[in-house]
Amino acid sequence: MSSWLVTVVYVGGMLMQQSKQRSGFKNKGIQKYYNPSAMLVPWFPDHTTRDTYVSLLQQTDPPATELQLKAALLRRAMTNVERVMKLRENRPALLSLVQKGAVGDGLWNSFQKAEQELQQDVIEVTQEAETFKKNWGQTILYTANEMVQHERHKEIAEQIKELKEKEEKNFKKREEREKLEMAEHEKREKARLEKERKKAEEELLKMEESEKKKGKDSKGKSKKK
Amino acid sequence: MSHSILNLVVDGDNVYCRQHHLETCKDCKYDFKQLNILHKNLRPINGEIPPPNQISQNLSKQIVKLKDDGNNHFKTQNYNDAIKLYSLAIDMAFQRPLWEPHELTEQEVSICLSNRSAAYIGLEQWVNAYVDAEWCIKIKPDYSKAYFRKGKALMGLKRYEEAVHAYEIGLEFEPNSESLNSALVEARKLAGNTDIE
Repeated sequence: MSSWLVTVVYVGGMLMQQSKQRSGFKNKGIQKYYNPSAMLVPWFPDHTTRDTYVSLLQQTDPPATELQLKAALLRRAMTNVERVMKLRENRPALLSLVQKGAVGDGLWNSFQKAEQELQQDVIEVTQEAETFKKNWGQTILYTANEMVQHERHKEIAEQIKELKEKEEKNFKKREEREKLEMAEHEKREKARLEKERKKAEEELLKMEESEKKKGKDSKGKSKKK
Repeated sequence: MSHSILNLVVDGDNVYCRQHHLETCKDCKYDFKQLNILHKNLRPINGEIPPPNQISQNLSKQIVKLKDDGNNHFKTQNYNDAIKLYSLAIDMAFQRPLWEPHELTEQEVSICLSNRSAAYIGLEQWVNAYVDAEWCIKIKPDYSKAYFRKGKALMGLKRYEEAVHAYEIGLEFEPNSESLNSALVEARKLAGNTDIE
């Protein structure tokens, strides 16, 4: 009972202290002493598909074709779709960790910055799409989402290929092992039978000998008599 | 949010790193492979992606035809021919254009994979049957029939406990399935036996 109480008090105290520290950080303006955005670790790696699109736009020797630019913009939209899904997935868990004080503000700021940047890039993509064809901006994200899902099928196919190889190998191994066990079993069985046969033979021999002895004895006896 | 400009070059249909003229370059840390593939895929329609509700009806018809032919062979226990036709249907379903609804691909592929798994079970090719069922589950995790096939295949492989697990998940999606329930009872019996050993 008392140890249970001690645990509760200890954990409770720890949590309180942590939340105090967190709020203290904010209130006392310690953040002034360092630039928080400079310390932020980016939530996502570089947006390579965006950079590729922008770089392609600037190509002059030779310039990129319109089809290439469209493909590059779609890839950029696909990255955005993937990131939107990831953020949506991560948000509730991260939020509850932040509320508990289990992770620092830095992580939360980095998350929020990623959300803002992503929103910005989504807008940019739809605007860019409009420059190729009127109303493409309305459907490009939908199309990008379908493409992301289709790409998932390809990944699954790769995983299945690996699974098949592994399962076939295991199956072969098991078959061989079973064969070996069977052979071993047969060998043992044979040895056992052989042993039994020998034993029976010996017993027979013994029996015969004792029979002979008996016979002799009785013969000798009868002779003596 | 600053853009960084990549040192790339356009050469015909493809994009490469300018320095080494590579599609996938470890030194530059560039990878344009996916971009070039997409470019190739967009070529036949010249980048004019049709509106979202427009789908290739012909493709769907062909897939259904192949699947039905496969089913006819399956019914006469001609499993080898059934497998051939299901395989063609699966390949075709995966060729659906990238911009068309992925749910459609999932529907078509999962039925054909599940049927092919059943045909493999008919031939007692347990590993193939298991792999197809697993594939089907990965593509459409709520397809209860696939768990039934997976369980059957695992029973054939004498992996009874895993079979029990597969049937149990299948029942989560279809609690009243008679075939799943009776299969589970049978699998549990055998799994129990392996426990005692």
